[in-house]
Amino acid sequence: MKQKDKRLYLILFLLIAAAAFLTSGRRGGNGDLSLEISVDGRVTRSLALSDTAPGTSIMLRPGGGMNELVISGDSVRMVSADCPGGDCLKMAPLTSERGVIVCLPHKLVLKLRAKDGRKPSNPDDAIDAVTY
Amino acid sequence: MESWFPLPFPGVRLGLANVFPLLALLLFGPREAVAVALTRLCMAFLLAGNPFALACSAGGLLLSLPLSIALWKKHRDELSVPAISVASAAAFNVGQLCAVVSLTSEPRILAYLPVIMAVGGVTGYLVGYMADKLRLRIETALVRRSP
Amino acid sequence: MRDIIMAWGRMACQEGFGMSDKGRGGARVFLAFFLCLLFVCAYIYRIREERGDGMNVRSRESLAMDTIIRVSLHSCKTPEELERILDGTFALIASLDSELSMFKPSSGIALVNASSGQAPVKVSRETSRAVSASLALFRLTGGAFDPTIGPVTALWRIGDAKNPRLRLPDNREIEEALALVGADMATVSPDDRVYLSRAGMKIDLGGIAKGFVSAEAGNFLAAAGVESALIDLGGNVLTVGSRPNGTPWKIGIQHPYRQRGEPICSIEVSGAAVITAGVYERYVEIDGKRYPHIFDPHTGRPVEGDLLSVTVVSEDPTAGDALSTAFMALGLEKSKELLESLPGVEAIFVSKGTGAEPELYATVGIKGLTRIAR
Repeated sequence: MKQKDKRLYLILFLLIAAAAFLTSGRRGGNGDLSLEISVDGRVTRSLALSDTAPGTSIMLRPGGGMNELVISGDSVRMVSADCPGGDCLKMAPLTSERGVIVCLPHKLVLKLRAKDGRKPSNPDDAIDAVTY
Repeated sequence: MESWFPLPFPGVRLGLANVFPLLALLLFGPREAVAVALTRLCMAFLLAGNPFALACSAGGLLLSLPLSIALWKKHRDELSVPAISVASAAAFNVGQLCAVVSLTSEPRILAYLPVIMAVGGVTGYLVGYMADKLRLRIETALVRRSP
Repeated sequence: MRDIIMAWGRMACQEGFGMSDKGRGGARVFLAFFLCLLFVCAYIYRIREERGDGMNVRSRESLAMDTIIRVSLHSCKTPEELERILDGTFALIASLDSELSMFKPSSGIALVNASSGQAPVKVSRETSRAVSASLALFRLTGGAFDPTIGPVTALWRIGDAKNPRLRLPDNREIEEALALVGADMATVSPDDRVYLSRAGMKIDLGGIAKGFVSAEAGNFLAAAGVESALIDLGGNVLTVGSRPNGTPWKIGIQHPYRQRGEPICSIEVSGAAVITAGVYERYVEIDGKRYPHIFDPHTGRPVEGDLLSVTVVSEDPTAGDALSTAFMALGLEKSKELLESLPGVEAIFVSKGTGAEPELYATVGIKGLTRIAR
């Protein structure tokens, strides 16, 4: 331990605390969660967990690759993928609005979004149009 | 919290191998440290062949190398090796996450920042401690061998 | 060796002292470095959440193309600018409609049909593109979507209120009409001349026109710089961008047994077209049986089977429109095969099923059909 070590550790601790504070800003309500699938930054699919039968398996083909995910009740996890490294398989299952599952090689991002109607002027569960 | 713990985030590794660039920095200097880091990067890419892990590590090194070199150059006497290593590990993790964010354009990934920085701090300390001990060994060995 | 290390150490010490004389601690460099990073991160993190402020909304509804057309714009532009963009959009839709409808005698398509088997007809650039797109989709679907279905639709006269069909066409009539159906007998030349090689052939872009028009309208809005918009051409929905607050649009899918506007389920999309073909939408009733306005180009008859509707989600509304029609003709199993070869196209099938409520099948991410639990 040298003289400035303590100060550095303290600063790091404060930074982590600050980062935790800044990123925890948004906590959705406990409303229906919907799974949002995006490829290369664009949302390609969004489906409500409550509308999905438990154990539903979904095959995705982002950019020619393959990822299979399973929705079981209120959690989503990746069960197989053909990306190099297979890091996305090791990621924690999604259960809340916090966290994401990322498959970098396929530029695939899975996340849950709560329909909490944070913007009361445009409630999230209002339907914008009906296709017939 | 517990759901975060199966941690291995894509490409974000614990970074124990960072002990080698750090050791090079301590023993030889910045230029050598950069060389070792780049060599390790290339080797890892050639062996594993995962360009995305490469991008993550590169993003991490982009931040951690300048920081550790700056700290080593200017504040070596006020900071112990583990402390420099902890700072550089934190920078490494931030760089990695930034690389992932820019690759996926998904800012929510930054929510992992605190956890990863905390874990990175612990491994950073271990790496620094290891590097410090290794340097001592190597230096005494060198000193003993010289007349 | 020892000297080298000693010298190195001395140098380092001097450098270190030099710095601490100026009174700058290592911790402070570290702090500055990370504060900058943290602010950048926090900024990136928040920026998406704060979209949607200072937005103006303009929406307009109008009757055209035999249906209700609704366009809603969300943008930072001034309300006056948005009004002007809406004027332009509706003018574009009207002009395309007058070019593409087979029922308007002066339209490019009507002229092509009138000259079938005689001579190629020069049409507008847009009409030529629409016909080319329809021919490409004919090939893509292996003929399950056919823009030259005109003789068959004319035979069944569905949607013709003044001159309703009172009896089923017999086999001979259907055979005759079918002989004139085949998009491989239609050609579009690079100088926008469309030719139907057999006399009596008729192009009917009914299965693609709304999709094509909404694609053109979407391009128009994008060129005008509108970030967020919804175009609803009688149930053919095209979303431009996402909702102004950044969340995806929520589009309901019509319940086949209930009143219009009552959805059976809904999906969330951004920047995609959601287009449905359903047997309940337009039909003719002969002897108490309903015949829908969607034909199988291979049989020359209205589609049969368990499918009540197919909704296609794709980036390209033109393809989405044609594919929804093609999937209705193909049925669930064959559609599934075709979908495998169409990346970026997803579909939701509403089928009669066995119970009182219809069954839903959806491809999620192209591969595999997933049953949606209700």
